[in-house]
Amino acid sequence: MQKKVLNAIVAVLAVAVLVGVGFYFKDKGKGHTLAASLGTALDLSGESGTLPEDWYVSSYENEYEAFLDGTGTLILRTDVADDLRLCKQVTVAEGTKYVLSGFIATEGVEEGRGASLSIDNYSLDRSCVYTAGLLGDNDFTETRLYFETKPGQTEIILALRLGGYSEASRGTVRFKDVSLRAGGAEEGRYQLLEPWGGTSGDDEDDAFRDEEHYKSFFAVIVWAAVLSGILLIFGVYRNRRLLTGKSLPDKAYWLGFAFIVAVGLILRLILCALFQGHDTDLACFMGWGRDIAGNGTRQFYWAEGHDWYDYPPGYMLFLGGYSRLLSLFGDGLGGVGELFLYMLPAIAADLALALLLMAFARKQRINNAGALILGGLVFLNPALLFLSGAWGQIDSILTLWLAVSFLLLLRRTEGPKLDVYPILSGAVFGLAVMTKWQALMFGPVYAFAHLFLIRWGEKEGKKDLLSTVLGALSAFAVILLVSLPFKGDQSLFWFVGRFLNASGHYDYATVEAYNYFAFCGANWKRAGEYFIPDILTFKQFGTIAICLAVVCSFMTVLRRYQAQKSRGVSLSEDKGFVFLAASLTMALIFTFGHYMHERYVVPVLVMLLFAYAYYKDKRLLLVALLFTVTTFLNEMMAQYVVSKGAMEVIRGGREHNTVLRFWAGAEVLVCLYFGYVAADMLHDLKGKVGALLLREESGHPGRLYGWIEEGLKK
Amino acid sequence: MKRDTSSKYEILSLFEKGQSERLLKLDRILLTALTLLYALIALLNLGTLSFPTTVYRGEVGDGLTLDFGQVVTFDTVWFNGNVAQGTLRLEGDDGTEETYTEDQGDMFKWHEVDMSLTTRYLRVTVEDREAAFNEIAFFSEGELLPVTVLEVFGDNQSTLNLVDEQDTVPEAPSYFNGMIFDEIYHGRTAYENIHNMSVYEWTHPPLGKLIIALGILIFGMKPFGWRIMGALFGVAMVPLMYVFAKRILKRTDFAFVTAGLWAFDCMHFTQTRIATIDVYGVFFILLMFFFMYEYVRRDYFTAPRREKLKYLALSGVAFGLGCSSKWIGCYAGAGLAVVLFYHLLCALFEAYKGHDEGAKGKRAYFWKELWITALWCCLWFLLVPGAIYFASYFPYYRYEASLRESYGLGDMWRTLLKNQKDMYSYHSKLTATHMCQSTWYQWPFTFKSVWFYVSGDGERISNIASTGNPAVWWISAVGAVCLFLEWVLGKVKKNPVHPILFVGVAANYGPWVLVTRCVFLYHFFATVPFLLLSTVYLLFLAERENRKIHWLKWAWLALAVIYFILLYPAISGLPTGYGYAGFLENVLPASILYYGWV
Repeated sequence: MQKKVLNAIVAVLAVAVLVGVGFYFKDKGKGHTLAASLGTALDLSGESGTLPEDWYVSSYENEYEAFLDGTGTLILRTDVADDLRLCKQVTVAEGTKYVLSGFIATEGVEEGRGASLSIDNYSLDRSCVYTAGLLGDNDFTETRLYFETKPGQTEIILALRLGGYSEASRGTVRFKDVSLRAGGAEEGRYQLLEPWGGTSGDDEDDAFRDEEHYKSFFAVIVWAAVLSGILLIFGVYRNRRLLTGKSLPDKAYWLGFAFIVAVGLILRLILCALFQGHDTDLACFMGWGRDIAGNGTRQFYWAEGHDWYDYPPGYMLFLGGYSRLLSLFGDGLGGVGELFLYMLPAIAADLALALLLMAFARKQRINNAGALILGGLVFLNPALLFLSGAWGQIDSILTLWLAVSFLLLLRRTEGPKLDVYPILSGAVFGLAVMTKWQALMFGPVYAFAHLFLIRWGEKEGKKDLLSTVLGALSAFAVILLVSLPFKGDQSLFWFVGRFLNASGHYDYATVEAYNYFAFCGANWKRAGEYFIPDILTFKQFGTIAICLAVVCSFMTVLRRYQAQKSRGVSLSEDKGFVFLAASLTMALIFTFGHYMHERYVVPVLVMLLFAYAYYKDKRLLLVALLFTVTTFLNEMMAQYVVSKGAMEVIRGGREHNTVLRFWAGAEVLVCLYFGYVAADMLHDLKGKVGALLLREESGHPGRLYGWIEEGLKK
Repeated sequence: MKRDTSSKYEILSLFEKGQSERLLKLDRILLTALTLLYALIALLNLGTLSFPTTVYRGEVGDGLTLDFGQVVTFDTVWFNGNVAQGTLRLEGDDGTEETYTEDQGDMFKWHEVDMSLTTRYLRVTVEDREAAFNEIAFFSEGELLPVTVLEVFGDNQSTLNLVDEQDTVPEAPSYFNGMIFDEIYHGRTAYENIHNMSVYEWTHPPLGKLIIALGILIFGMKPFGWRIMGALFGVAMVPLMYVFAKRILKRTDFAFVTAGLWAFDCMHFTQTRIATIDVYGVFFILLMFFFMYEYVRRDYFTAPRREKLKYLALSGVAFGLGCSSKWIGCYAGAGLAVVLFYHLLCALFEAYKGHDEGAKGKRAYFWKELWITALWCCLWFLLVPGAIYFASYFPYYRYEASLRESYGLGDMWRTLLKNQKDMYSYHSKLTATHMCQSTWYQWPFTFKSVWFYVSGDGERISNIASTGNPAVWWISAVGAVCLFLEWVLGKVKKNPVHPILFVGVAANYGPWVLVTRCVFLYHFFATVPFLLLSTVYLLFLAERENRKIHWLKWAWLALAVIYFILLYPAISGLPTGYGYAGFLENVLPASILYYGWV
């Protein structure tokens, strides 16, 4: 009796303990129910020829045999290479170490991974691990899989496996005495069940995925350019009436401008944080600035290892002062903030350009709304945004000096008093040359403009001539003055050698400039290589093209001069001609010349907007927008292919070349269209071609007309 | 003399005056001409009808002795395999042996193997597992050796089939006379469906393969046979696009341009000329949206109920057929639901607009109609598609039933469910990478084609790459974005076609943004018609606003045709010189077509 009572008490206590344990683990989460029962074999029992309960087979080929042999041994067999698995889903504790162990015997296992114990969690959380696969013939071999669940992972799928993902095997495999137990105390290399963690043999796939990822980013760049194009062209087209329609009140005008500035600055800040400047260029600017601030200007170009410094001294001088100014704030600067400060001069130039264009547009009787749109097209221009915000380049500073110089050039007065503005213009042009050597490409246009602005035969002729001479002198004076602090022990004209050195520094047909040469597959090809075999090198072709571009600029200025003369007014009354000629020349040089870099076309975008503001020909606006799209993409691509990671994998590859060629082709088409627009503006090409091609209506319906009319009858 | 500007638009005026949603005489002429023209292009060099169809199927020990008539030295053997993975042993007079094991990828094509033996009699026996061959051919220095059967081991009469169709041996193995790319899955499975064999390709629902099987039943298990149905569905897409565009725009010229652009789209051409199932999925998606448009463009309150319900039912049937062909039909179906709910919501707002007696009547009518529509949709978008889907698994049921003594409805249901689980498991677990894989945002600009076939002999190269026509895809992508912007900005008048177009794009494109398995350019195939229709619609609106640009649509079509002609050798398998192939690969902006072969 007592024994019965004792037994009953023990039984009740045992049940209570079990229930308590059950509740304890229930509270702890389902995972521990298995953890509690670990250490015991996983049940592989069942009738011979069947499968154990709660286990299921997964196969790709579905031509397998899977059964128990009645002694607790599971047999998997397939003659067709497969990833054959007997699986069971179990609950586990998160962040816990486990050991899955069992005995595996194989018979004629061929190909792929072979037989293994595995956690096939791919369908749950994309993780998967295996033991080393057994191939060939093997007696029962003890195999252990050490793994660790990650935080939040409470379900796993155990798999007794023949083959693996993309590693299909065939043959016969036997599994027995499979158990899952908590690890931790056991020595072993525990593989973390992370997505793709521990799957051996995936290195090639991973490398491929990485490469594909880098390549696929080209599509993102193309999308960015295309969407910007849609927004710009569509936006302007949809609001085209604002350009010429009712004006905005001044208050709204300035409020609108403040909004544009705010948006532009925020976008640039975001771009700066995202891209952190061009890997090389911005680091150079910062280093150079600090060097000059610390060591002075004299040594800058001549110290050992500085012979490749290819920027002219103007911006260097500014950088020196700017760095010194920034150093006043101490070392607290750094990171994105410092990067942004070094981008700030170019951003300020963008802003100044926008203001200048708006003022110019308003003077050309464009209403406030139109001027605001033009200002927005500069300060929110994707190409300029990217250049000054993401890259940190200073082409907009160059463009600003050129625009100021051109505008000053046109300011002429009646009477004998000497015009001071053309002289100032020369000085500013000198500053432009000292900012970037590319200003020299505008030299011919500038010279032609000067020459044709001289009112020959009129009473102001002598005065204009003197202004021109003084303007040229002032340009030289500025160049000399700016370069003097950097002279060191060199001759006074040291910068000439430096310029020649710089111009040949990138002796390539094109340096990531998406132009005609790039379209022909000559990106980074030596300029001395033959373009047309045994006839013409890239350099020769480029030189001819540049000469022709200069001729075009001459013809443009001449044509405008003649047109103004026929109207009996001075050329200086035409405030757009120099912008039209300059943008046309630079567009042609960029498109067909050699040595071009991707950013050299940037001034064209802005100058076209100036030209539009004066001539109000919408096609100029369209060309400016199209150039914006091609330049924006060109800049993004140029920066992307030299960025870390991408450079080694995809630069010069098939995808890079495809995008490059297409957009280079598009740039060439835009340039040709611009050429047509300019020619039409200057020579009424459309009218002449139209008269030649289009016949006047005879009044009789043609055969096609009658045929279609007949067909459209119900 | 001042030019009469209106005369420039005289033809345009005709099209404008002749607006009708019906197919007019000119429509019928243009539609027929375009369809016939495209059919001609699509069927040209589609595949051979001269292909061995009698099968040798043998067990281990089966075989035969072949007699070449004299002592010969063959250096190459072409094996045209059937569904099996056995090993053949070839033994010469002097006891020299060679073996060949069939591979899954080498079935229903001429697999060229370097194998040299000098003998008069050749003993061919099955060494391992079951072997199945359509034909074997022996070559000596490129010359086909005549061969006869001397002796057959055992009583397997099909053994004679091993060399009985030597007249079908082509000059060279090519896409024209064998399976390419995924045909080895879909074409093979169609064959298995016909012959009640275990289904090899189970990662997609069966209907597509059943349609392929129809072509095989008519023309035999030959390249033309397994490709013809896809090609015909591709041809049928042309009039479908024409009619769709005509219903939307009511203009003959725009309908013709739309159908023309679709006809000359490269992926439409390539993807429908291969025995895979995408064509069926896309065709039915297009059809279900067409019928849904027919429904939503009819006024909820005034259109005859019978007519409305007819189109809803047709859309549901197309939905069922689409889902049964490929699961992309389900994505599209979700889109249909969105369109339908949007339409009903609009009707609801309409019904609750006024407060007068008429409005009350409208409200009552709305609710009555809603119940009818809802019940009707349950029937045609749930029950009927479910039944179609269930029925499409007939080959599975038949095969399973042949293995067991009893096989009932419950077993069918289990078979169906198991395949659904397997399919889901396969697609969700697929981790393999592929050289042609691409990312969804690469697709509209055709960065990477899907490479079906290449063969080159050093002088000429034959290539089939499935890619979009840049003139169609690139422009359509931009146009669709513009139309969407216009719509967002409220610049276009409300039209029932908007939800059709936008949802059509979103439902067919959106899911691929989330899919993590490796994906391919052809997954964009179902989206392209909607992008194309969107852009044509935009052009139509733009032309109405500015008649000067009436030439633009023709220029677009011309550009697409030029691109199609230029790319034809790279997408059709037509052999071309390496120089021209290099031009297509490296100069013409299109996509990767030859994957480094030129």
